[in-house]
Amino acid sequence: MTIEHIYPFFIFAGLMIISILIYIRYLTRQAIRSILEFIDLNTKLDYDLHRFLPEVASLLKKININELFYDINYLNSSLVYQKTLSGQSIEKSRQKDDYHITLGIVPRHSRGEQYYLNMIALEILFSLIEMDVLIKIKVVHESFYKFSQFQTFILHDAKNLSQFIEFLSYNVLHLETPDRQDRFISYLRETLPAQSRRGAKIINLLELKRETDTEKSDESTINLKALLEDLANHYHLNYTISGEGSITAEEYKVNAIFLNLLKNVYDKYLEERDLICHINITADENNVKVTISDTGSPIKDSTRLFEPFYSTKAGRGGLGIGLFHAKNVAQAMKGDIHVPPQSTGAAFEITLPIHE
Amino acid sequence: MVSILLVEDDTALRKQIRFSLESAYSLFEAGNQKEAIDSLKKNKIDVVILDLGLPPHEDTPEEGLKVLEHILGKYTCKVIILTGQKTEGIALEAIKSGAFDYLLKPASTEKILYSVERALLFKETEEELEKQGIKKISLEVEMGKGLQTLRDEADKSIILSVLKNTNFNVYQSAKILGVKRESLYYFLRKFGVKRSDDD
Repeated sequence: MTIEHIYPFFIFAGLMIISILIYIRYLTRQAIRSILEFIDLNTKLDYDLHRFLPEVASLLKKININELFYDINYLNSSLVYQKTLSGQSIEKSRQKDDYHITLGIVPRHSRGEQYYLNMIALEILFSLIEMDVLIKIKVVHESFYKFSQFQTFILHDAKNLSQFIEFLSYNVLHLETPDRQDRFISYLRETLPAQSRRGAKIINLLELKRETDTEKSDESTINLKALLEDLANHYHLNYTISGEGSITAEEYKVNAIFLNLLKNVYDKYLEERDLICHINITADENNVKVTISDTGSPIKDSTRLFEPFYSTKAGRGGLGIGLFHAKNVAQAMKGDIHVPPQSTGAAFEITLPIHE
Repeated sequence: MVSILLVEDDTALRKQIRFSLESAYSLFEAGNQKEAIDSLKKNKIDVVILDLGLPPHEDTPEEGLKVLEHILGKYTCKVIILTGQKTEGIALEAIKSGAFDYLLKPASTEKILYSVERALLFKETEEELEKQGIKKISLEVEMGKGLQTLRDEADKSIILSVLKNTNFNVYQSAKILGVKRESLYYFLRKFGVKRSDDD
């Protein structure tokens, strides 16, 4: 036998290898495409397992998996599809405190490369489902946590308001003498600004949202020096104030910005009694700049200062939305709040346009 | 004149509480822990109406409990907690540690005024008993029985002490307690108290 006689064998063997490689390439592409389709579908359906599972079952048929069955329980939600087809199946299960997942597939067969395809499909699907379940659990837990924090925050003011009304209605019936009547009116007059601020705070919190500059109403000229003096006195701060400035804007928005910033200084003052607050107002033809600085301790983490629900008082009464809200409102007014670097103490720079 | 300290961070509410009490009592005010402690140092206070949610931690009882701890450690005045902090655990703990009453906002004004009157009555009686050599009456109530039980037990405890001290003389006891004899009979019936040889 000469070497020429062996050529056809080599050619045949070569063709066989090429065919197998092409087939494996086809299978691999098919598997990867299917996996990408699972991921895409899951994203498209907003990680909603109730919609994802029935649809993914039809995709599985493309990779020779005839049926998908499952038993999933999480957050009092249950998803069950029993196995209906006979034949060999592959299952995976996980039991945790918050959830339970059992997932199974019925493949057409499990020979050769299909075995690996089945295993990859099952593992990927299981991971996607577990991820969806964990996202839901985390979101729900966090929402409830934030909601309860928010509720506590609102409740403090709301309960005080209703206790105030309770006393008010009792006192109105006990104005026996002209002197009592005068004092009653003077107390009301004295505390009216604080009460209306409290009411505005509750409404502001309930309406808390990403502020936009779409609707404007009730704009008025606001004397910033008078407003800041009023707020600083309200919080009994030791303060100095210099400069002047006025802006035309909706008063409740300007109030929301400075009330939150000065409350922040007040909270610090209660723990650092020698703290002095310095307020400076400057204005050019377009903007007013207010700098509120204090002689207290420096800001702990200025990068997270305006992050919602981030508070250095976390767990001790800080909801962490005051500064977030103030910055939001300032930005919606085409202004901003910055924290300039300080060698001592802390400072906020608030820039607001003269005409909103 | 009897002095009352109002510890409440909400100035509008504080003024209204002040108005409802000022014709009968001498009033002092505080809006935070520091002001409360300063006022206690400067004035002779008989009753404190204490809000637990004080700045800078208005949403937790932290600051108010510090004030309570300070008062109970240093003074003999009665503390009525008037708060929005709805935690029965805190309420029971506060009363067990020595607070006189725990009222949840919004409480009716009559209830608050009644609590102030009772606190003063207790304080006077305790002082009277102390003069006679009887130490401060302590409450022995199991946790978990609720606030009403605590209040009833407090009433019962002080009435029994006075009765014991007067050798079960209702007329004298009513005089010490500052209540009418009929009221004392009512309490005796309510608590099922009968004179026995042991008494």
